[in-house]
Amino acid sequence: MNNFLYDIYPILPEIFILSNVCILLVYGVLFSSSIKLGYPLLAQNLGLLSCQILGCSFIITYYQTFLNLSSWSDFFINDIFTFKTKCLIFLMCLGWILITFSYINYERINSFEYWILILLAIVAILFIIQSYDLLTMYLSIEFQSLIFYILASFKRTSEFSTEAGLKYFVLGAFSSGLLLFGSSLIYGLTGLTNFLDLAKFFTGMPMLELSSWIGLTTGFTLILVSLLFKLSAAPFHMWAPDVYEGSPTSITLFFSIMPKLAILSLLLKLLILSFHDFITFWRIIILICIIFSIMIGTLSAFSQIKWKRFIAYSSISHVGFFLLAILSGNLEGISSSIFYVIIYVITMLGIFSFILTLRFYNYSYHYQTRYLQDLISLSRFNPALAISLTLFLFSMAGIPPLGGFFAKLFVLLSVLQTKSFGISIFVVLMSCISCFYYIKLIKSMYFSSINEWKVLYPINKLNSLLLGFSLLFISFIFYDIELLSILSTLMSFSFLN
Amino acid sequence: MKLIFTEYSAILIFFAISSLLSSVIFLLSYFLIPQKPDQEKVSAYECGFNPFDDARATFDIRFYLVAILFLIFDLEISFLFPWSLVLGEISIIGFWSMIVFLVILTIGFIYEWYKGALEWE
Repeated sequence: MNNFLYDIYPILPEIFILSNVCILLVYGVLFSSSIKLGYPLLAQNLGLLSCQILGCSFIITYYQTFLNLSSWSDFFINDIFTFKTKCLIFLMCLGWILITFSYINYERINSFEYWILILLAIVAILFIIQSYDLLTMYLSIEFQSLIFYILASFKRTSEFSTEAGLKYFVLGAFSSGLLLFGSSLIYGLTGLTNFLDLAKFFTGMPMLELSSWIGLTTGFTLILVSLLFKLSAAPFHMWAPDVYEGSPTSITLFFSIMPKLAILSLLLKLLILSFHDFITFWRIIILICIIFSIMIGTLSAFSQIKWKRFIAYSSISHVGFFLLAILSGNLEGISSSIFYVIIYVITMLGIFSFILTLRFYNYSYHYQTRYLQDLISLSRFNPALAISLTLFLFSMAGIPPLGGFFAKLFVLLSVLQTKSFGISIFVVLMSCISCFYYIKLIKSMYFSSINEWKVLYPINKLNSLLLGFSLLFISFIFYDIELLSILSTLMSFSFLN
Repeated sequence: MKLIFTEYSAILIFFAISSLLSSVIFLLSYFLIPQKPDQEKVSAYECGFNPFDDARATFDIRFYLVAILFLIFDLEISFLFPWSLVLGEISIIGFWSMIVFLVILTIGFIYEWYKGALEWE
């Protein structure tokens, strides 16, 4: 009985959310299909309820007495890293929820299943973070991906959305197949599935000259390729711009922030824990991915004319940065990659709250901005929005004293410790090139003029809350950078072995 | 290590023979027959008359839905079979785990019932 309680304790937040999902699903379907009540639309209702659920589960997770153990017979792990990452996921989702309320109202997404799917996606991501076995990794990634496929095609009347969902489904299913093939190869050749067991098995690997080395590296490459695909690292990034463009904008934000932290934690466990002795093999792959990601992400953003594709490409280049931090292989590398991810998430929250706020009013209907052209002379329509976008773009370009600069600085410091000057110079050059189109946007806001005066729809209160919060966070008004760096260093201690 | 792979040679031979056979069956008919493509040969057959109407109807999505629901509940049943055999050995914890599984699937069933997926017009 004691063992069972030790198993249940770490996944109490997930159990809480899952039981609430069951109750909400039954409540939603019974009430929204009752003819007596007139088929009420329960989307707003369930939205507020799920916000409450996530807040309560954050409190549950944060105030759990920390236990460092592996539960469910080594399928799940709970160390300081997973503990803090779970709290971070809840905070990010609560920030995300602030934006979706207004988006749902404006775009008339009236089905209550939206919120059920979001809660289930959060549960899936929590399972990914805690997974410690090849089986659990595959199951939780499938769980999360299936929910994301549905969410990408949520707006059934929009062709963009269904196209995005279909593309994501086909490509994502293919990459899950690769993941399974890789893990079955590794299981077939070693007989082990647990990450820690694999780490112990592979100690001293390069010296051993095993004849199954080719099989092991093939399996490992397939798993790595699949995870890099989910992370939208180039050269596996083809799905990202189309899926980001077609999905409803709040779902695009959900796609760009949630899987990054989850898959990054999985990648850290695989690369630094299990396959650490393959480092002479995987650092070549990761290096190629970094070069491609940063190059493709930076150069493709030049020709973009739509907002969401632009952000998709810039997030591909950000992924290159966190892979660069992992490549250095030392402890500062891990903590700087976690730090970078957190700053990236807050920047994305800010930029998307800006996009979702920028709505143009054209008597009796208002539409969301879609093209980068819509920014022209924004400083005259709404100077506050213009300044906020300026600061977010400067942070993404890496200009001090904003958050993005410190994130890139810490990554480059950890890389330079291993004396890899070539890649550092390349990365800095590409950052300079990316500065160009960020500054082009700022120039079109401040220095271009437009003939007709566009009327902006007034900002929603929750949107302004998120916009202000992320802006203040990025510009370090409250010395939050030190808190973050302490947090990320603390989280990296669990990889000390 | 070489000992492990000797059984795979049977699979390799099987694979080679099957691909050879299928390509022979497929390609032989392409190379050996006289080909005279004609418009009349590919048109629809309606007892010698010209086709009155397009033979295709819109695919009813209800069939797909029934197939997917069958798949889900069939897998649920296939999990129930081994559980019922070993229920004596896994005592109370095994019982309640299966009940949790069945409750989750029942909630899904309630959802699809009230959404109208079981309405056959």
